[in-house]
Amino acid sequence: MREYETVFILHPQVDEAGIEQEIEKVKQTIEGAEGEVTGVYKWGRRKLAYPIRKTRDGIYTLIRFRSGPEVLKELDRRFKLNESVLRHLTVHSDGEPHPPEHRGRDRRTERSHFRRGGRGPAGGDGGGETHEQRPAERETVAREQPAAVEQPAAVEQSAAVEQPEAAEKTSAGETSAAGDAASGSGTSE
Amino acid sequence: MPKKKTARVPRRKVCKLCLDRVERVDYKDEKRLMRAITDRGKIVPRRISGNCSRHQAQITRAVKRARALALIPFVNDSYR
Repeated sequence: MREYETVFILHPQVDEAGIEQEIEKVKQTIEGAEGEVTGVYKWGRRKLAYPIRKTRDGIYTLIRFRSGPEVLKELDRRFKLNESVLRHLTVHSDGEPHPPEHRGRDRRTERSHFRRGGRGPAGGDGGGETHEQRPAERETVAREQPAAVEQPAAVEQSAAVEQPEAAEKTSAGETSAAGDAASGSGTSE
Repeated sequence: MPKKKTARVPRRKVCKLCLDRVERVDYKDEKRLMRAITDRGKIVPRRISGNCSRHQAQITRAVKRARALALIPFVNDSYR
């Protein structure tokens, strides 16, 4: 018996009842082979980092269980046959330090990290050909902004406020690093 | 001000994950993984990040798993 965890992504068109059904199926597969489900964590709907089968969202579910190794094959087989599963991953989890539910929801906060790279070269090294692509590039960047601006800015600010003001002045390097993402998204407006 | 002609002394890099006493890098830890990849989505090499081999190996594995689950991108959208 070993501890495993499996994450699967369902198609966003699957409804609540459908999600429960899929979870139940996985449970049955595990328990049918004398495995034991130790936890079900629904991350819910979140954005995919890239489109899969023409969809940009997915419903994530993580299931932890203990079982023998033969269950994995059966799980994998069923996931592959199941049309509404976009992706799945089963790994051996050896008492992972992170609570499995601590990310979930929509987290596009790290987008700011990407945007810096995306718009950096806009003024500089452009050749004639690449210029045509740039408007499109900007558009995608602009569309992502509303979500990105709200979250990281709020987080960074609260982090900055927690520090005493005196420390803020002296450790200017540190605070500017912390405020980097916030200011980055600020200037791009 | 005239430029000094001293050779740049490379500062010794320290593994950030060791500093944070990270035991295991988790593929679900999207936030950390986003910091471990470049703006194009490549894994930051050890010579840049200064990570120790143990943690770099963990990062590599975690990034690859996270990519498969679309938690982090293979390639950033704007470079596609």
